Amino acid sequence: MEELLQAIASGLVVGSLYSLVGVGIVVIYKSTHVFNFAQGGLLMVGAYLAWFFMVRLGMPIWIGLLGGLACAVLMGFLIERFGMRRLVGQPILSLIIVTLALEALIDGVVTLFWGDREYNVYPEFIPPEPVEFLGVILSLQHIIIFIITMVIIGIFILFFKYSKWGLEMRAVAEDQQAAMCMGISTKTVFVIAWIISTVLAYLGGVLLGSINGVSTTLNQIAGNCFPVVLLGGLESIPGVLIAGLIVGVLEYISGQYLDPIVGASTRAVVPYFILILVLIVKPYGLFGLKRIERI
Amino acid sequence: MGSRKNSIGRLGIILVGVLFTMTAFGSPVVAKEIKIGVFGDVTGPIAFTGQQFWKGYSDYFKWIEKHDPIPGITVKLLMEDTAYDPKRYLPVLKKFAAKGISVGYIMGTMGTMTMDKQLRKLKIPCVSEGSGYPRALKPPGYIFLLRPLYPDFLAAACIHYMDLWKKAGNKEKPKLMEITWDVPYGRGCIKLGEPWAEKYGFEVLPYQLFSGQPNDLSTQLLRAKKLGADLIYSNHLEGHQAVLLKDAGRLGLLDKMQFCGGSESRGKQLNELAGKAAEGAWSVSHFVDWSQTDNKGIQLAMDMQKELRGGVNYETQYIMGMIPAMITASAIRYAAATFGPENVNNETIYKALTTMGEINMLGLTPNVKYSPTERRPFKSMNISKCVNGEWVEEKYDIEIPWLKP
Repeated sequence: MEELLQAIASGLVVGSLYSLVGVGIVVIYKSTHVFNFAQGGLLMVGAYLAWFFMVRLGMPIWIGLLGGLACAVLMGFLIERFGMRRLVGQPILSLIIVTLALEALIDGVVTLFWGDREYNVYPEFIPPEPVEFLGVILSLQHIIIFIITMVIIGIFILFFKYSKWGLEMRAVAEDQQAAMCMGISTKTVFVIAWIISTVLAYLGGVLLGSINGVSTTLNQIAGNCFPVVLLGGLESIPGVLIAGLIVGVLEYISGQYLDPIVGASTRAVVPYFILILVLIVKPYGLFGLKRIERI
Repeated sequence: MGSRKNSIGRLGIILVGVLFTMTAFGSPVVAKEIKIGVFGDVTGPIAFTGQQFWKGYSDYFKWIEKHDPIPGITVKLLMEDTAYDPKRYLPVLKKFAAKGISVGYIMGTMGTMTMDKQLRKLKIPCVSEGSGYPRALKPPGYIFLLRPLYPDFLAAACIHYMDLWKKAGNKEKPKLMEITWDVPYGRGCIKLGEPWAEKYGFEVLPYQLFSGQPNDLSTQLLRAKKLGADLIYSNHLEGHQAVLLKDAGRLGLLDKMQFCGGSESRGKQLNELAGKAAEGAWSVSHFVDWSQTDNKGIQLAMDMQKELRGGVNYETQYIMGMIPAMITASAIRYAAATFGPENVNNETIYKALTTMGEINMLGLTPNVKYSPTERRPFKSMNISKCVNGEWVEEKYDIEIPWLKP
């Protein structure tokens, strides 16, 4: 029982990070219908930016974090303004390929400038002390990361539901032409979507970097987030939240109980296996919208 | 007519002068250029490790060019990024072969596995970090390992642990569990090492694998706790080991088990990442620690970094990058001295590597010796321990059995 509870607790923590990264992908998809394959790279560069301000430039932690955040905002703006906007009207596949190219570009640039060290470490701003509850031992770091992630995702759910920009983004996602007729600036919506996405990637990078250290392998987490996003239904933020937690927990439970039987790490396979199973039954994902075209 | 005679006379004097100069100072000799192909995993999953390898490797050649050049030879390093990606190695090998490399350097097991067959065909000797690929030894081909096989590393840990276990008066069998990275490198110890450990007197528990960059290794550690593991061995990188040690600390297991990693599971970055949880951890390696400042090899590494990089950066992989460079340079030097600089090529370097006897490694590792039938360099391993944030000698020169693939 202790093992199962521990697996669930660890899975929830890691799953919450998947959700956070996944929300960034969903926000872009909701507004532009582009599946952003560069989210992992953006997360990695975000983690490096925070490290650059806090460690390289020696800034106080909170100022360093704000400096990184400002850069993330700028990065989102630049990607949309000088990259994606120029491709408006092009086939959607071209835009997706551009995100793949962006991922490769980020990977190369980060390696070029900062890849000469295996790991870079933040000053300790989230304490790693162990906390025991019901026989489950988590570090305070993990608990705080879980809470922060939940709060951030909660804020974004409210943002999309109640704020003017959030409602405009939903309108653009639903029908760009109709949204434009209503006086909504799609350009502004696209910029906001990319900025939100890079900010989420930045936050994910900082949280992940505080556990693992900052390295060029941080972008690997995106590999687990893609099935999470599809499982959640591509356009649903609550969906991606729940899907992230499900995948995280199942990964750890499979690690606990399947690995000894199979004799290999099943964690990397489990998200995709679940995805296939769910998509067979619900092709639009757990919370995806089933679109019906009336002729 | 007279002026023509004068011109011929002047030309004659110049020619005589030139001939005299050539005789007096020796004829101008053009040094032979030897090309070395480096399969650089400088991006991708082991980018950071590969970059340090490359620094140590290239620095050593720059250093000898300045301080101890190989007579009659100039060395040209060709490096291509192979990104630890199996798709990239063979195209790069083809490119290198077309450029006429005489010898190569491979940074990992992935490249070694991918290119072993083709290197045998092309007859290009390569020194390699790929100790997770025992088939390179059987039959011996053109891969020359820079360290014993990874199962040999595990054997070194088991031998030392068993000594301590017996000295402590324990009668029952100690329990070994591997918690390791699910890649060829990480899995490298299992097949050969675990059966050997069982014969050596360990109870071997089911190994635990993880994929990618782990964020939490609680499940693996809880199983180790449940099964009562005494020695945890891992073949993975510093970041993985840091997560393992931190989680072990959180679960209160650091005092209950001995954690030991391979040569890539130690260093100052592990200490930064894992903090106090790194204290007491072991690492098996084939080279000495930076703390051995009286070691000539370490002194050379420091001098090289001071001169070429303006300061010392205590990365363990830098030392590891120097090792293949020292071996390759020694083989080229031997081939030039034995067969003549003009005859240095892939075949004579291969002959040199297999017949030259011991290579002096300045104490950085034991002296290296290959033979026509063996591609492992030595039979001695070191174990270091993290004490007060420093990696220091726990037990050096452990004689290993050389497990047979």
